[in-house]
Amino acid sequence: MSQSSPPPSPTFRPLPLLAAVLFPGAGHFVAGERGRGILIAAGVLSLFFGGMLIGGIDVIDSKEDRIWFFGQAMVGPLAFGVDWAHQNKFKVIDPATRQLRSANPDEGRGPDGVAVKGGKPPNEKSINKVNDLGTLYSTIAGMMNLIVILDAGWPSRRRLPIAVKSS
Amino acid sequence: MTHLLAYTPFIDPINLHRVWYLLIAPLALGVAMVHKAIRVGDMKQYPRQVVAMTLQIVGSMAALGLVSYLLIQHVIPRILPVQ
Repeated sequence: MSQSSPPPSPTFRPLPLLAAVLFPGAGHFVAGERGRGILIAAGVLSLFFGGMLIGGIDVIDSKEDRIWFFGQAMVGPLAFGVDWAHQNKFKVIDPATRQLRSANPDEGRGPDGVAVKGGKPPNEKSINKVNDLGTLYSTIAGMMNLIVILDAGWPSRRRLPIAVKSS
Repeated sequence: MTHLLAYTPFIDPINLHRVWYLLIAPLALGVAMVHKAIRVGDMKQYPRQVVAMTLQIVGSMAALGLVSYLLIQHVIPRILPVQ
């Protein structure tokens, strides 16, 4: 009667871990699990950009929605890049306080970034359920990518089909 | 009309205020895509598992919504009637 040996415990993989932090799915791709990596990238990026499609760039905001951004940041440098663009290319400088803020509906953005009355705002601020869902989509993208990052660094034992397990 | 012409995808929000609850389905699909990409051993099972998990999430959320509705609209008013 042969006794099967227990599966090996997860080993640490630093390179896939680093790649996973840099881009969603890249960790599994680098580790040789290319199909898995592409599916992960498709899922995480669909959620992240799906959130932006629903709520606009307003849903990625490290200044006004800091708690949510902690989750979104788990998507990696991409989230920081979008946030940088939001802060520096879409927000306006309040003429009175010199602080960055979203433009009001009757304001435009001058060449120096200062809010000017009478123009068109660079982006429309999302409100209500659309803002909630857009924020939720992009934050869940980050939370899912955190699981992906951990799996790339310390790969889990994949669930095997019942037929394979019993043989 | 002016609002539609000014819309820029990924920059401006989309006008889905009336049907916001339908957005649970693509959210569940995205979560299932990522989770099953990690968990599934045999990738031939992947599409089936993703569909199953998506339906489980959407079904569970709908059931939770129904239970909450029944509790708030029918059960609690019977236990604690408004004076």
